[in-house]
Amino acid sequence: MSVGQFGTFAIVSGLILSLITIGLFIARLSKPENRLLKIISRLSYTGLAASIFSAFGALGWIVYHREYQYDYAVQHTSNELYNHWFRFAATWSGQEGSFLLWAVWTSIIGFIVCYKAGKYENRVMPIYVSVQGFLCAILLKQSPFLLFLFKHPGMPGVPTEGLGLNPSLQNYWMTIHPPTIFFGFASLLVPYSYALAALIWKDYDDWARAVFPYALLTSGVLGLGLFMGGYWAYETLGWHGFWAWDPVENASFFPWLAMITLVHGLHVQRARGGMARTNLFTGILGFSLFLVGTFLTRSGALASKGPNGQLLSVHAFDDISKSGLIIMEIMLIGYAIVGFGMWLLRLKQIPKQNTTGDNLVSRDFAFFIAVILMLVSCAVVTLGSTTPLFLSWFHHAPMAPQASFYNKVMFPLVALIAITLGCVPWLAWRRTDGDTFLRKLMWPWLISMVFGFGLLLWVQVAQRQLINTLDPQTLDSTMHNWISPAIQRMSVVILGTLGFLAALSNSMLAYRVLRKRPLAAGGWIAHVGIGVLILGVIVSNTFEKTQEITLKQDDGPRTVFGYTFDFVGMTGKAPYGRPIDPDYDQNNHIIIKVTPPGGDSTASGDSSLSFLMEPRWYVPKPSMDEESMGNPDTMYWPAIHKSLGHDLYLALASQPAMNMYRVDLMPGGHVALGPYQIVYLKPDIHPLDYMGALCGIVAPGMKPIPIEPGMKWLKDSTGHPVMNDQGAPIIFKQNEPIPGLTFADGAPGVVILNSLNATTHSADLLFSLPDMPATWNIPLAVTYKPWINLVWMGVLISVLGIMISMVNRTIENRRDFQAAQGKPNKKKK
Amino acid sequence: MNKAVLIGLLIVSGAMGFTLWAFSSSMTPYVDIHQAEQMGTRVQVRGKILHNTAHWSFTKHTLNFMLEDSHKDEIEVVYHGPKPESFDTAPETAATGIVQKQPDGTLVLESSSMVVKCPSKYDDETKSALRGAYGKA
Repeated sequence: MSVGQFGTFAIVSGLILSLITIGLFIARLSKPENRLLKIISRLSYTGLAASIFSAFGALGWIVYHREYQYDYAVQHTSNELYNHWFRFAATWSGQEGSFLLWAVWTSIIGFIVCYKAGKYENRVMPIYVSVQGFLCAILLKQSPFLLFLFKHPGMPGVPTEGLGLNPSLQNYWMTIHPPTIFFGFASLLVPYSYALAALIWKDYDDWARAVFPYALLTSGVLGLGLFMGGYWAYETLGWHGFWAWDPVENASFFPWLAMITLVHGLHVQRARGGMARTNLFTGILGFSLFLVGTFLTRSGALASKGPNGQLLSVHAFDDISKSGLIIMEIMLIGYAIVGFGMWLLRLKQIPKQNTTGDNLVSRDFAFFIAVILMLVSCAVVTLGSTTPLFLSWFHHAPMAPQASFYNKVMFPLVALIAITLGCVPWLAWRRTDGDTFLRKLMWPWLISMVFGFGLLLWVQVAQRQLINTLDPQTLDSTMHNWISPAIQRMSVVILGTLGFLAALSNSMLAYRVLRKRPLAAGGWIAHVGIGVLILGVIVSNTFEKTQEITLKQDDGPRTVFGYTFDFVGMTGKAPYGRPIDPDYDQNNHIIIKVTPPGGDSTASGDSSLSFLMEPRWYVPKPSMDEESMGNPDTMYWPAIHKSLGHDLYLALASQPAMNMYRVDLMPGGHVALGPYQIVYLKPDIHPLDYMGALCGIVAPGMKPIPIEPGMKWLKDSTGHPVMNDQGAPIIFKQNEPIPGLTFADGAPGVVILNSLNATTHSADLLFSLPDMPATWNIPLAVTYKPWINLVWMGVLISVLGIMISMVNRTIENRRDFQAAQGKPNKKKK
Repeated sequence: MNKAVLIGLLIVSGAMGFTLWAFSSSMTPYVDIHQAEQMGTRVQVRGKILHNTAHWSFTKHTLNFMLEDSHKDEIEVVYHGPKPESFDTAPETAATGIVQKQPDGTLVLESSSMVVKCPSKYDDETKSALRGAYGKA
C-alpha cells in the first residue's frame, strides 16, 4: 500500500469512526453506568484520533520526502527546501494540510475533554466529534493524497521538482506559528460543545465551571498565536508594522475577542451568578466566528481579484475546491443555526439574574460594560472583515474597508475599555462606596496625570518632526488623519494616559494579590498586559519616524535620525550579476555599518559603538519558467536592531540598482573604458528571436576576448513571441559573463546589451569589470520605532496572566470536584 | 429599565452609528474619470497606466502619470507615497484620491493610495510553473 493510499484510508476510517463514536456516546446517554459502553466509546474515539494522526503523518511523510508523484508535494515543497524544519512545516502550508493540522489538534484536545469531562462526557462528546467527522469529509472531498497525474491528466510525467514553499513562509515562525494558532482555533470547539450541551440539557449554571479553564486556555493560546503572527509580520514584511487589519489577521482576532468576552462573563457567572444567557451566547459565538473566518479566508472571496486584480489580503490561500467549499458552507451554517437556534429556543427559560442593578459604582457594572465593549468590538471587526463576502453576494465589486476604518472605530472603544480597566481594581462586587472608590483611585490617577502631561510635552516636541517625516501614505493609514492635528495629539495623549492608568492600577492590585494568593492574580496581570499593550501601540506609532535614503557605494555614509549608515558590501554572487542571473544567490545580505548617535563614524575612528545591519534581498529560483524570468518576484527582508527603548528598522525601499559603466558605440567603433579597450564589430539580429552585438574587449597585457551580449524575445510553447498587455513583445536582457576577466572573489566581469537600435545598429553596452566595478545604489527606508517592545511585552504579560488564571481555575475545579465527591449532598450556590 | 442597561444601550447605539459613519467614509466608490471630475469626493478610478508619461520624483516622493479609463478619457494622477514595486510592469491600476483643480486650471487626481495589477502574476501560475518543471526534468 502506498503512503497516499494509507492516508486516504486513514481519512475514510476517520470518517466512519467519527460516526460510530458519535453513536456510542449518544448510546451512553441512556446507559450512563454501562462500563463496557464507556470503554468501547473511548476506544472508538482513540481509533478516530489515531486515524487522523495517521493521515497527518502520511501527508508529513509525502511532503518531507518530496514524493512528487503526489500533487500536494509538487505544490508545496521543492528540492531547494533543505532545512528539515521547513521541509516538515511545508505540510501545513496548504489548504488541506492546515485542515489536517486543525483536525489533529481537535483530536488531541478531545482526549482531555473526554477524560476530564466527568458527567458531561456523553453530552459534550457527540457534538465535539461531529466536527472531526466534518473535517474528514472535507479532506475526502479535497484530498491531499491525490496523485499528480490524476490531478493534471494532460501532463507527460511526474515532475522532479516542486513549486516550493513561498519564501515569506521560510521563516522559523512557520514551524511554530501555525501549530499555535490552530491549537487555539481547535480549542474554540470546547466552549461551543459545552454551551450547546448546556442548552440541550438545560444545565445553565454548572457548565460555566467546567468550561472556564478551556475558555482561558483558548484565549491564552490564541493570544499567543496572534502575537507570533504580528511579530512575524513585523520581522519579515518590511513595512515596520505588526497589525494591518488584514481580513486574515482579523479572522483570528474576532474569535479571540469572543473568547475573552466569554472569560469575563464566566467570571461574573461564577462570582455572582449573572450573565448566564450572555455566556451561552458567546460560547456558541466563538466557534461560529472561527467558522466564518475560515470560510472567509478559504472560500476564495478574498482572493477573487475583482476588477483590479488586487488581492484583498496579503495572506492569500489558494481556493478550496467546490465540493470542499460546500461542506465548509454546511458546517458554517449548520453549527451556527443549531447553536444560536438552541440559544433562542431556551432563551426564555434561562434564569435571569440582574446583578448590576442601579449600583453603577460596582465591579458588576464594570464587567457588564467590559462585556458590552468587547462584544461591540467583536461585531465591528467581524462586519468589517466580512464585507467582501456580503458584496460578492450582491455581485458587487469586492472591496474591503481600509485599515483607517478599524482604527477610527476601535479608538473610542479601546479608550472606554482602558477607562474600565483602570477603574475595575478599585471596585468591589455588589457596590462600592463612591468616596472609598475615589480615594483608592486617586493615587494611580494622579500619577497617570503626571505621566500624561509628560506624554503631552513629548508629543508637542516630536510633532514638528513627525509632520516632516510622515509621508501621505503613512498619514493615510495612521490613526487620526480624519481629525485636526490638535485633536489628534490630544487623543494620542488621552489614550496613552488611559493605557498607563490601566497598567498602573492593575499592577498595584496584582502586587497585593500576588503576595496573598499568587494564582488569583492572573486576571490582574492580564489587565496590566493590556494596558502596556495600549501604551505601546500608541507610543510606537505616534513617535515612529521614517525616512527613505539611497546609499551609494563609494559615496560615503548618510546620516538619518542621528544614525550614520555606511554601505559595506553585499554577500553572495549578486554584486556583479543582475537578479535574473541563473547563478544568482537567493540570500543576499546587504551589509550596512550603522553608527548610533554619539558614536564615531569615521573610518579610522573608534567603532566600538557601531554595529552591522543586514537587510536581505531574495529572488526566487529564476529558471522555473521563462515567463517568471521576465518578472522575478523579489522579496526583501528587513533588518532590525533591537534595543530596550527602541528598534531601528531598516528595509529595502525598492530593488537595489547597479550603476554599470555605459558605452555607446556604432558598428566598427571602439572606445577606451579605463584600462580596457572595447570594440563593437557588428550586430547579430534575428528578428522576433534574438539580437546581439558582436564585440571584443582588450585588457592590458591580455589577448582580446570576444564577447557577444544579447537579448532574447520571450516565446510561448508554440514558438511565438509573447506580447505584454500593451501589445509590445517581451524582450529580456542577458548578462554575459566575460570569462577571462575575474574579480578578486572569482566572479566574472559582466557585459549587458542595454539596447540596440534597429535602424542605425548603434549599441548601448553596460560593463562591470575588475578595474571598473559597477557600484550599487541601495534605496533604504529607515524607521525609528521607540518603545515597540512595550507591544510585545504587553501581549506576553497578558498571555501569562491568562495562563495563571487557567491554572487557578483548573485547581479550583478539582477542589470543587473533590469536595462534591466527599459530600455528595453539598448544595451548589 | 435600570441605569446599567440604559448605559449599555447607549454605548451599543453610539458605536453602531459611529461604525456606519466610518464605514461609509472608508469605502470609496469606483467611478470613471468623468464622474470623478464631477464628484470632487474621494473616489477610486481604474484604468490603464500610460507608461511613457510616468515620472517618479525621488525627492518629492511623487509619481506622476496619465491614466486612461475604459471610455478613453485621460487624467493626470499625482500619487504621493513610495512607488509601488510592480508599477513599471503593471498595465493597470486603481488609484484612490480626490480630483483637484490646479492653479493652471487642469484637473489632477491627487492620490494617496494605489492598487497595482501585476501582469500575469496570478494567471495560471501553477500551470506555467509546472511547464517549467518539465523543461528541467
